[in-house]
Amino acid sequence: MARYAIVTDLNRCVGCQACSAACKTINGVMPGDFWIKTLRIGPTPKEGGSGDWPDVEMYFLPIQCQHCEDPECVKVCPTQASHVTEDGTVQIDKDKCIGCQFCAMACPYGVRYLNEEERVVEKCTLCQQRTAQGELPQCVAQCGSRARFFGDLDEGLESFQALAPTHDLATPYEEMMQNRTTLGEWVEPFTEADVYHLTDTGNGPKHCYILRNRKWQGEE
Amino acid sequence: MELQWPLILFTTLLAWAAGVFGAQCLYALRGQGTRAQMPALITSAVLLVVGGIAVFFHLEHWERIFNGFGHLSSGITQELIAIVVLAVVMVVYFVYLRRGGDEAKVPAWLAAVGLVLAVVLVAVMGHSYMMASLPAWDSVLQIGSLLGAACGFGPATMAVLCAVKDESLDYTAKVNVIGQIVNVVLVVAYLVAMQATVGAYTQVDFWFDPTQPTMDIAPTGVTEPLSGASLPFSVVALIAAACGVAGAFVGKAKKDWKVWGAVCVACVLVSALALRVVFYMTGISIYPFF
Repeated sequence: MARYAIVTDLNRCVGCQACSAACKTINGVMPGDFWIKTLRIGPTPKEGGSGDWPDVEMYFLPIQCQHCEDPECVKVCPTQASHVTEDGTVQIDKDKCIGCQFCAMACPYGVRYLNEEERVVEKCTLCQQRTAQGELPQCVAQCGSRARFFGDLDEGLESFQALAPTHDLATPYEEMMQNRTTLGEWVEPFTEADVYHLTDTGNGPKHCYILRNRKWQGEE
Repeated sequence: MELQWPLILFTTLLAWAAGVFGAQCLYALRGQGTRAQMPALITSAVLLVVGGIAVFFHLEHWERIFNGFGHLSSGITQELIAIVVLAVVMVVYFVYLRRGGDEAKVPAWLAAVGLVLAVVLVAVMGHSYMMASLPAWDSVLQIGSLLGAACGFGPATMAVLCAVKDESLDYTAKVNVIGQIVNVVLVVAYLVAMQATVGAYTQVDFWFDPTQPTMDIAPTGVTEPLSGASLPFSVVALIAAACGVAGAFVGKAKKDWKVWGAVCVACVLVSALALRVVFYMTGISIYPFF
């Protein structure tokens, strides 16, 4: 069983919202609903600084379903509509969902919501329709600053992949989409201490965030 | 979180149903209030059914309820099991009451089982809302608040039914006073427990969600029952529960449980509904930024 996840290098993320837009486009997410949002965290006064600009720091934080190791949303689902699949992602079988919304209440990150049209709960699927065919999640593929990488945690963060630049404008789109680089090849060096997760209430969020030389805001 | 009225009614009515059944089992164990036993059982059953119907209005696709329903780790499944078990015991209780005729006696073991199951149902129901994601909900005192409501509802309803059946009993006064005091204590305890979770949320000094640029994302006191918009409802919950205690003492003094029993029921109902409103108003995710 794989443990698919996304790693975001927050030192690279510029908060362009391309991930949100790409996600909404490919997954048909309704206006007003989001499977991924990018928040601006800060500006926060630097420790030991004057408290005013330029002694401040900030970063952008893309938030989506964290496809947790021990997801509370799955535990509370009465029909097992919410379930963990073989690739380690949390998915919703919409035909089984009775719309009780207990999963939305149980999610620590509030990323689940009721689709008012279908009257079932939905959230990020980690683009299962794409990853099952060897493609990257759309938020990773369309990341404007190549800050996001997709892969299997069992293979190590260094192996996570993103699309690589071709620099040849004549490259066909299909070929471009197969051109890959890895996090190990592409990003600045980082240590284990630079890797963060969203607040863990025992659910074990899988997505990782790399943040160097800045203070991670909020509890892990 | 938005107020989930079907769930508010479900939890309140189930606490009421369990309270009445538990109280009548207590009466049966002490050999009291025999003429009120059947009306109490009917009242409890009706409340259970109405509460069950109310919860269906929360489900967006109730017609799929048997489409794989039964995941045991789910609080909803556990609630359903507890309700079915209690309903079965209520049917057995009904059979014994019918067989007993005017004496309306049930075996002590059945009354004891009924009392335990009434407590279990309320505990299971409260436990299904204990979620680490929502600090204000994740407290055993949240279960305690529902048990408190059951302790308030049950004896007060039994007091009315006993009075209607001309069973003016000292036992009614004693049980009702204790029930109302337990309720007010547990209401206070849960409000304090909710207030104490204020520092449990992930804190970020400055942040901005570009998809909601004009939204007041964290208005003051949103996670606190004793400030902001929640405060009036907390005060109502508290005052109504306290009025229930006062009503029980007045009923005891005047020995008029038709009126003062009903006053106690009304007070507990207002208190329980107000507390559940506070419950949803403070139902904020531990990571409240999405």
